[in-house]
Amino acid sequence: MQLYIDCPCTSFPRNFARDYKETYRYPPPSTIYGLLLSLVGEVDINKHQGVKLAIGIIGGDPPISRILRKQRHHKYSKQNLGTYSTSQFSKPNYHELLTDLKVVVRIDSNKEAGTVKLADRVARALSTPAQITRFGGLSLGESWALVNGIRPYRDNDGSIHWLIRDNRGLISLPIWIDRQSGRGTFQRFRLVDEFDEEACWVTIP
Amino acid sequence: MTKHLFATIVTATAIAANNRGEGDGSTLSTLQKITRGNDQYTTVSAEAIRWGLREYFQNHYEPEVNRTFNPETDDPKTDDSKTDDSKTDKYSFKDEEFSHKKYIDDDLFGYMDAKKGKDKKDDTRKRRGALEVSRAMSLDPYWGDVTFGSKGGEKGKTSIHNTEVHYTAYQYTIALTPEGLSKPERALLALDAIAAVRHVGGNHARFLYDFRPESIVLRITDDPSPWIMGVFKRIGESVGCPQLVRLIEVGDVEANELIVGGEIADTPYGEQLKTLGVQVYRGVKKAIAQAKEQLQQQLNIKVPA
Repeated sequence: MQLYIDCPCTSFPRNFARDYKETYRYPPPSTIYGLLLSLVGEVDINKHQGVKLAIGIIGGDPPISRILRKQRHHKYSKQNLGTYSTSQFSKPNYHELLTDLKVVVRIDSNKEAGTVKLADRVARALSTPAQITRFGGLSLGESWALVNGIRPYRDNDGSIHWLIRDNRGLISLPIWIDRQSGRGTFQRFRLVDEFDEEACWVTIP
Repeated sequence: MTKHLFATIVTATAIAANNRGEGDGSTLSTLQKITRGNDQYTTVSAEAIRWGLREYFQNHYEPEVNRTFNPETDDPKTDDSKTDDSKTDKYSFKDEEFSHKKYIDDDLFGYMDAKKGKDKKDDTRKRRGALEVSRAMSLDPYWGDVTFGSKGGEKGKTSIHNTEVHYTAYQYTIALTPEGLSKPERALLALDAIAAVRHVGGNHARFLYDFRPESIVLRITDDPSPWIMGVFKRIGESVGCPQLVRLIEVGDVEANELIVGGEIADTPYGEQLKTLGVQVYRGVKKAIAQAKEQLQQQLNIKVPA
């Protein structure tokens, strides 16, 4: 199964970014996995562990825009509860955005532990959306980064550049962040024009 | 089966100058800008739009709103116990425990009360905002227009300032699953709010940039993705939607799921949409009323009193 995802504007904040919110240039596998769970209406993030994803983008690298925005910052304190005034608790800061991102995703559910496979659920969600129960807008990244559309890939959508696992590659993306320990699994990638049956697949641990 | 409500809104064309306080300490109030293709466009954050929607609910349904904002509360002239720092810009919560059942804003916009419970375990109360709003983008590229001004009274070396301004219209999209709300009928109120949102694209709250829809495309569907984001394009002096016509012609979007309203109805695109079977209304309010009626029928909900 090969999906086409159109996202007009988004941001994938880098894990180790501090105040200056830099973005990854490509959607991390964990973000794509979250989008697919949302698409099928699954709220248990561990439900489809073991699924393999391959991610590609259509066209050149999406342009990065840098905006200046107001960032509010405060620690929880009883003293200031509800009184975080703009003058004291906000400051200007930069934030990077990506525009006109067109992503292609392949899903391989063969190694999934559960009986109900993610690939089957995605296929059903796209072919008969009336049969699924889900909530909320589909977003890739934060909730404002709405996805315009998701459907099976068509040949005339454009040529795909695939992210391929390469330990010497210059693209580093998080694959998974453990919520309990806060530890992350990271992988380096590079872009290729041909799909590679070995190196394109990333397993969600 | 889940029904989703999507809407893409394009505002009237006016002079936007939304600096939202980023200029603190500098003499330049900047617009947020974004690169698309080879051009730069200006943009308004989803948070700013959500702020405008909150303002509407506060003005119209104050008893049912949890978080209110009043820039004039606790004026130090009348309340000596307050220090200058906490005198204004203050939110008031009726219930800091939050309740999506009781309050419209907690239901639509979500909340997070971050705290630690016993044994330092996570005791955060949170709810994802059901009403999702995209970033608004200008229809026209930004050419770098700047206005100069100065503060009133005696002039000094710091009294002059400049502001980036953009004569343009903005478009943005909202997504809402009415059944995801604690009270699905609040989706109808959200539609009213979208038709009346204010104070989003102007300089702070002083100058009005009319952010209400000049044209609107509503879609009530089972499809989880809207497909109608960014369908409005500047065509000459006016606004058109060639992409929307194409989406219906190729069958990616069903014509009977769409309701279109506003000035777009009086353009050739309005005629094309009508021919394709879309419900087209000349007025935005009529289109929204129709969407409300369809939602009520399909979800079997009643208009809140």
